[in-house]
Amino acid sequence: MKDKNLANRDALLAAKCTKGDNRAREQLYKDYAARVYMLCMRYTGDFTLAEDLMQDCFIRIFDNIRKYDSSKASLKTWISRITVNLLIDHLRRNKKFIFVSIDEQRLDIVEPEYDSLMQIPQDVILKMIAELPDSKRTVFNLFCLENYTHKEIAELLGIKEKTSSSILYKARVILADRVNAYIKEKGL
Amino acid sequence: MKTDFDKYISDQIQNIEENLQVGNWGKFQTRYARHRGVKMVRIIIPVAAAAAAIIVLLLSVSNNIDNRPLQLRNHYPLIAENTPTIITEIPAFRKVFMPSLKREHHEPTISDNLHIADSQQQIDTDALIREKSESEKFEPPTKRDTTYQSIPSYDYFKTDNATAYMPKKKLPKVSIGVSGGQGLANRNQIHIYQLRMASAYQGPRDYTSNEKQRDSILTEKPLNNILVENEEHSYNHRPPITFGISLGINFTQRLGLITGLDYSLYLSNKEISSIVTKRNEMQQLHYLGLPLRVNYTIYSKNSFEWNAGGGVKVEKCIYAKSGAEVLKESNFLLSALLTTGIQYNITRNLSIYFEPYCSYLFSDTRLPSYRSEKPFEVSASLGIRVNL
Repeated sequence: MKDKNLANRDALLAAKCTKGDNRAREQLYKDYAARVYMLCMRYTGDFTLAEDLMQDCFIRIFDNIRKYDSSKASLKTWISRITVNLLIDHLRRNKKFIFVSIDEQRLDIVEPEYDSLMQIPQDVILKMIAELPDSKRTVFNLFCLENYTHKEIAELLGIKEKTSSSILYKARVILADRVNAYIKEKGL
Repeated sequence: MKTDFDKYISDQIQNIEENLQVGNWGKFQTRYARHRGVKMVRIIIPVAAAAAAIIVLLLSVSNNIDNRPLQLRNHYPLIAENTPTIITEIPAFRKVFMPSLKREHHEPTISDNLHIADSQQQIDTDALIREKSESEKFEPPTKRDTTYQSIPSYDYFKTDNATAYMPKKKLPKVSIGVSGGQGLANRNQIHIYQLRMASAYQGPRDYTSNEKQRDSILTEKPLNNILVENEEHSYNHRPPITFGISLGINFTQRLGLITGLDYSLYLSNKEISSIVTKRNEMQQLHYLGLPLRVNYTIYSKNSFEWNAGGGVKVEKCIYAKSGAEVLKESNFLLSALLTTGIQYNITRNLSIYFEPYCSYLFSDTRLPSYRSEKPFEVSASLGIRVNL
């Protein structure tokens, strides 16, 4: 029931935006600005660039809103997909991706304790993700946060599934190391 | 497969998103309007270039093909008898673009400054004309003489170098028109659901020493004092009513520029309903517009003319009112126009015209109206035009 209401709301909002209703556009912008901004932030790791890209994303969203089909996905998912595609295009255009096959011996990830993790401030977590190398950050974001499969990631980035999996593993190792170092440093 | 660590990061990101306040709608709106403008210019430029190319092509065709020698031949049997056979008949479709078919006010006579010069001596038309009309003498015009225009007659006469001269027709250089019209589409009914936020509650003011502190709390945390009420605005937009005066400037017999001043009235029935109340208001938007368009006469016969044109129109809201409340609409409206119409010349200086047109609105408006809800509009105007 809730899903149906949400789909109806999304469809109505999209229809109004298609008609050029400025209030509906404003509503959509305000509803999803945080989501889009966070995506931009996570993929670029640059606050200023993220703001610029957020505006580009909304331009693309409003230009394509007539193509939105509420029966296929929620507006949030659709907007996220458009944003991710734009960000991947941006990163690819700026040659941010360097994919190398990682054949090195796999290290065990020493995952931090959950209680310790809870005490790490959110902005520190964001910063750690932002500081990951571009290709690792992108794969990590796509897999862990946008729920893409390795197959989808491989198609999107033009790499092999195995490469995607290796990059994700490496990203996790780096992140876990940094989290552990932070916990140790702060004595959490 | 996702690990606990991934899930933790995912949850954290979700939390950040929920609490994040970013984005400046006003700034984005300006950028989006600019983006749409640029996008539209990218469409308009090729269309305008294509239209200009077609106009230039038509003009060049109409200048190069002129059937006046044929008319001369029909009017003057003397010339016809002494000129060889006409090589080709002008195809009917080409006659459409012939300026000489336009406005046959001028009935040339031999005494009316006609001169045929033939350097090949096969036909001594000068002598023949002189014989027929001894009292009237015509001096061949010099190149500097702008009273006459030469007519390329070699296409139609075998005498390759024959040239005819006729007095130039005087074009009405300026025309002034008055028009009125109404949108052709049906009424437009729109529902807008609005979350209206009432102003912050203010109790009786007690000017204590803590006043500043209290005011700062109200400013910093206004949400605590805000009353939220759901309102539904339903609009029933009527097609606009437009009146205008226009000014036309003719560059050539077919090509002209039309500008002027249009007044448009946009009326909308507005129904405002909430859980407890329901009321109706009439919204009035008064716009003044400045159109600028190129007009081209495609075909003319007798007193009828068929023309088409395209251009832009800028409109500004001069007064807006909803019920008793005076509203502000600061945005300019920019629209592109495409028109076609017929004109009947009652006299040489007075014409009536009927021009259906379609227009597309590029700009956004703050207040909803028929125009903002239907950017693509088909309408028609009827008016009189004074040719000066």
